[in-house]
Amino acid sequence: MSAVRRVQQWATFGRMWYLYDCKWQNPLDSADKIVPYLDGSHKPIFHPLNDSGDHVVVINSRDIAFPGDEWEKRVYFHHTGYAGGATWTLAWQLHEADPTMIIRKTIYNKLSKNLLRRGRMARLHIFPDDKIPDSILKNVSGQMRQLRPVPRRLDHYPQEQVENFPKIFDWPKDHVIN
Amino acid sequence: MQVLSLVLKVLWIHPASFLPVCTMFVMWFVKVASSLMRTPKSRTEQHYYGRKQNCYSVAIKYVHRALRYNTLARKLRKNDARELWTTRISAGCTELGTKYPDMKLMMDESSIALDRNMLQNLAIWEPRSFRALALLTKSRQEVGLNSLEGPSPVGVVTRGML
Repeated sequence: MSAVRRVQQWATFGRMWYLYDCKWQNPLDSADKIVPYLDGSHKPIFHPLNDSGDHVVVINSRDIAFPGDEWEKRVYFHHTGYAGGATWTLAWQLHEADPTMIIRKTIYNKLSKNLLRRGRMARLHIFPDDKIPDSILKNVSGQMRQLRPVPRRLDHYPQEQVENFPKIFDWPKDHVIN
Repeated sequence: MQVLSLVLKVLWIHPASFLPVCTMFVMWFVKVASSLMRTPKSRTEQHYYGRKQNCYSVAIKYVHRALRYNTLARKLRKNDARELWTTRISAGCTELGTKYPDMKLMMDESSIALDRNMLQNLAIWEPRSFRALALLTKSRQEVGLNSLEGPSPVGVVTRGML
């Protein structure tokens, strides 16, 4: 095989490791984005039995952002198999116990429900913060764009920029904002 | 059983002393599923479990079911192939920054009559041709294809140019 063809072969069939920062991202939409990368459906050479999926390394899973009142309302069901072993855990409780579980369960439930699911989940690596082991960081070969632009906090802007920003009006000094 | 007793009388064999032999005689004279094994011509049932593999009257039901499924699958195979082609084409489109529905719209307008089979083959084996289609889609979205305004993508020839 010539060098050009060898490069083409590697570029087509090599397994990529993508990095995804889910800080302040919706886990449901993030899962919609991540699942095709685990399947291999983002590639034109896709076939379900082709084993064409890539690895995805998810970081900052602790800083996930559910919309609205999902943290209070969304429940995760678990049954131990024994009588009286059903539990309904609220999203915030589960997140406190294990900050990687929510994104993991979301992606697991979005993958196709067949025997290939476990193998695809094995190619998903989730970390609660941005501390990644070196062995995984060395493999990372690409990054996925975030879905929602992360807004900047007001106190993270320099003071002069905040003061000089044009205003239509401002509250009087003795006004109490409730 | 009458036949069996007749045979034993003829051969002057006492039934109790030749029990194993009796069972063999039984197999010869009593109808059992395994006794009717036909010579296999096309062994559909070759990889089935247990008696479904070796006994005709058990196996024939499952073979008939398999053949029924085979007939129904002729249509399903076509559906599955089309679904796979659509996945592949939309993957190729996303790689190039467009979407498959937009590409379909562009192709309808330009009367490019490529079916899903050809499109997925282009996406895999002729990436540059597929890229040309993606660029056409993008130019159609920016400005009409035959318009004199707007940028003309490099390497793409539209009907308006000719």
